[in-house]
Amino acid sequence: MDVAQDSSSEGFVVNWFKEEGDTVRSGQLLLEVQFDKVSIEIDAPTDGVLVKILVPQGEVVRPGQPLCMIEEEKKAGELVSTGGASHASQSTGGPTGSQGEKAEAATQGRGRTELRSTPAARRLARELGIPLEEVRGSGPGGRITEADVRTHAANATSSKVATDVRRERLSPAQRATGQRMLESLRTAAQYTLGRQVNVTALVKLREELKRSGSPVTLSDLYHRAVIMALLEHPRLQSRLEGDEVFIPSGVNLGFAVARGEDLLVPVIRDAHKLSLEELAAARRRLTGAALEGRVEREELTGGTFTVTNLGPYGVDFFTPVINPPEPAILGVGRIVRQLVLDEDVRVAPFITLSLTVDHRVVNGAPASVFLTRVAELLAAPEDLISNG
Amino acid sequence: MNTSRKLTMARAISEAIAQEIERDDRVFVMGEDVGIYGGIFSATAGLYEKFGPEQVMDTPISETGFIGAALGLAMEGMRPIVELMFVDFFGVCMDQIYNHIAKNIYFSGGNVRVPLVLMTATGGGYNDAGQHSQCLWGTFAHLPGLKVVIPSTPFDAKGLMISAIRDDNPVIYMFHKGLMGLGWMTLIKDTTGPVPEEPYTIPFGRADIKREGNDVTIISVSMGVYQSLEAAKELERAGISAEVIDLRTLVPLDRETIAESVKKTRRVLVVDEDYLSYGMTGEIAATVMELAFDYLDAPVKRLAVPDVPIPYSRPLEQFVLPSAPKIVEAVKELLYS
Amino acid sequence: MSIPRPKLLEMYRDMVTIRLYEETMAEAYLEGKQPVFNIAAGPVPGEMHLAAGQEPVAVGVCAHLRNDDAVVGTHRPHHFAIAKGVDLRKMTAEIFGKVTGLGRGKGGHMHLFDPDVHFSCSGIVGAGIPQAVGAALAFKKRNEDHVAVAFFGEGAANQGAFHEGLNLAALWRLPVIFVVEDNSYAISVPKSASTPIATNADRAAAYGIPGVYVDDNDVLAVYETAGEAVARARGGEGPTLIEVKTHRYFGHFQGDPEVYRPKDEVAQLKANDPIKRFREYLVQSSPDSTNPEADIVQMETEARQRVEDAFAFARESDYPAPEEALLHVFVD
Repeated sequence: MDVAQDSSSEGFVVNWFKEEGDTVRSGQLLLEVQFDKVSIEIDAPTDGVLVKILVPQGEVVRPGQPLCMIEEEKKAGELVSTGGASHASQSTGGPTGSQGEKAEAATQGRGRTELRSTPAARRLARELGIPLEEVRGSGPGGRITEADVRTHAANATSSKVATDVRRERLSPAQRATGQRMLESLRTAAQYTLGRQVNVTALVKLREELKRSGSPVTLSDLYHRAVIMALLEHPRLQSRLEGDEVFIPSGVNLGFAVARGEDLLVPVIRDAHKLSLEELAAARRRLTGAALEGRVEREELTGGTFTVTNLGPYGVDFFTPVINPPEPAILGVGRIVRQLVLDEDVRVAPFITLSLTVDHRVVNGAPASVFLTRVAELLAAPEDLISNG
Repeated sequence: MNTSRKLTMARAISEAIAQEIERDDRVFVMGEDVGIYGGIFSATAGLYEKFGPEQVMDTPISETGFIGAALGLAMEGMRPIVELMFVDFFGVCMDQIYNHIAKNIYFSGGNVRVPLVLMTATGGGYNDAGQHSQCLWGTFAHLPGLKVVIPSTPFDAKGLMISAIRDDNPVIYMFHKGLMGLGWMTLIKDTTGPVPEEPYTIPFGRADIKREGNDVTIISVSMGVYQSLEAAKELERAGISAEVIDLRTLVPLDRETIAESVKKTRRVLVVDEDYLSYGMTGEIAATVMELAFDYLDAPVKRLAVPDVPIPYSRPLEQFVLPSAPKIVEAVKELLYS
Repeated sequence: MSIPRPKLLEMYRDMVTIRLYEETMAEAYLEGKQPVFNIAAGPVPGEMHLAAGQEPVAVGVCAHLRNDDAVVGTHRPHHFAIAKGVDLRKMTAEIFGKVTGLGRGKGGHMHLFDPDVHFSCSGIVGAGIPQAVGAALAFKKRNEDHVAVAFFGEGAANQGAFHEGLNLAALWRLPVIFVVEDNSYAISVPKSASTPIATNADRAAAYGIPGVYVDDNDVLAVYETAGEAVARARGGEGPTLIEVKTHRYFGHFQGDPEVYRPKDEVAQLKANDPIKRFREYLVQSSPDSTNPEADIVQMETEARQRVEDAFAFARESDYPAPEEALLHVFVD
């Protein structure tokens, strides 16, 4: 588990598996910490007695922060901390008592962040009774300006006016998602193409498969279509680095899963090598793991393209945000029945595809060709089951 | 007052002197080339023809002599206006200025009067190098006992000169060569300005808000006021409303107007063509700390000549002098925008 | 030259006043400075430059002056001030740092200003010379027959201010008299080591004005020479430069170890003391053959009374309130 990658973010203690006073053995599971979307299990680094838990269950931890104190038999105490690259313990000499003091001091030192604010901001905050700790600074180095206090006061006032407001801390996963999406919108030149597809044949195929006992769903058929189209148009899953693009030949397909307020994107590795049934199995397994919070960190990374399906939520068309460093994402809307004016007038099921693309990598015309290819495969789905 | 008539600053100054000579026979002018020549920067243009050599006395190049004599004249009841061409030359007679002219009133416990005006040219920007381009008002404002007057418009120049002549204390009157409206200098737009014909005074210690604004206060004197106003126009196009304060006199200093403006705008830029360290910009910054600290929304910013002598070569000189684009840039930094 | 006896007695009284004043001041100065000398201690702190021995210059020149004539003195100013008629009580109070002083305690002994008698002085060597020129220019501009006198030492004659002042005064034919007190030493440097010519009076030639050297520290000799100069000035004939050979009995300042002159030099000078000589002259020329010292003693008594009165006034006066330090940078 790569902790270093997340070393800048906060987590929280999910569970302690030992209580204070318990004897622990080296390698025994001590606690579980949740960082963003992944949880880390931390083992006891040494034999001894867990004399003090420094970060109780549910509390926020930061990388490097001491978590507990283990008193080794005959030996000096050990401090267990969430390390940087490794979550190894930090060995510090001295008797238990002074260890405790040290641990406390370390925690305090980290907690006291320097709060910079202008005199005008301080004066206004004083006048309005606003604790500056609650104000976000927009000046150089995060300095809180008078305008920041004013903005904060305005927001505070509006939330006071609204009745029954609950305050809730963002989950680490939500913060990570938010930051990634913000980063995505900041850095990529995103545009979205829309296209309707008549899915009469696709719906019929899905019903036939269902009747024959196959676990394949519409989602799997969408995935299949996308994988096939990507093999023909691999630029849609290329990765931009500087002024070079790296174009993979195979497909690692990500798909969005909602777990409460959180959004996870598990990745089906080498999806192009899987049969439709294998594809369905992989989707099911990953969805289950994601919903239960069991998904491994490596199963959430390495995607080359993402599909997000908001059809089940009643959405027709939307503008998905690219999941960097991927260059595109396909959104799928709900099935709606529309009039078709062919030789005769009839009603047929349609879906709308929403393809968001990074203009830095793919221009409108090739993106349209790709989208059309996906639409063709979905409109005439024989190929989706014919091979592989 | 009728303000339809426009004059250059040089004309405004010489008119003020002429009117005061006519009003009070104790008033007269002396200095180098103030006679027939009319002053190197035309501050006494036309006076010799009008009043003759008794009231408009040319002096030898003998500054300790005639500046010291001016003190003797003032203490014996005359009201001399002494021109010393360039402020850069004050060094040759500094003892008379800071040890005597500035201190005799104090030494006497207020029993003597020293009604003299020391008029001099300041400023650079025309490649005259380090002994003819300084401002030095900070130096003289630093020394107790001298009133320091620095007009930026023809209107202010006349009113402040008349006030200076009527003051019983020594006044250093510092005009900027670039603002005199001289044909042989790079002409600044709008250096001619409305000047009423009748005599009028402008009280010392009253800064003039040359432009009102809400987002930032730019404080300056002399050429810096022009540059600040130019910058303010540019800033307006960027949606920034700048207030421009012309201090007009450094001694006495209108600290109240500075504080009031900062309380409104929360941010201050001080622009000075004088040297940066230990000077006007530092004094204004300290004033803001003392009187309006709780209103500051950013540290006071200063734009002045970095602590080097004024260089000769054009790119070098332009690099060290304040300018409108530099003011715009500094204001944007101040506003984090 | 015939000088009326009352005038002579007046000059004698002023010389005695100066001598008594300086000797009294020397004693007062030492108060609080013994056994350990600390320049800031005692009722009269700071530097103290005394002029005992130099009375003939001040008195011989000022005897010709009127109230409206201007005098600019030096860092050693008491004898000029007394001779010019500066209020002795206020002057002494100033030197004691009292609020009743000429400058309310802000100037001290080197910065005495009495506009009532047009007297000023400066602690900067040579600086008063152009200021006297300015005063003279004011008189000329107003067509008044007042004169201005600049007193300064032989050391100051090497200052630029001296040459600039002489040049302007000569150029504009101003009613000013430049009086050089040659007391042999610029602090410690003898005249021979500072001045390439024997007498500064010779320098007058460079400016086309009369220069006179008075070789004797004698009040009547000074009086005679100054009389001509003042008359010339009042008559519109321009400036005169006078140098007088005089002697200072004290050090440059009180506490001066005087390593630069022979130990017995002052004793020898005192043998030919100008006040003693003047007194002998007054006795010999007295019209009262039975009691030739009567009017002289009366002058001496007057002088003693004036000095005692001035010092008593100074000692009894109050110090200024400390906050007064902030006043009088400017006049209203």
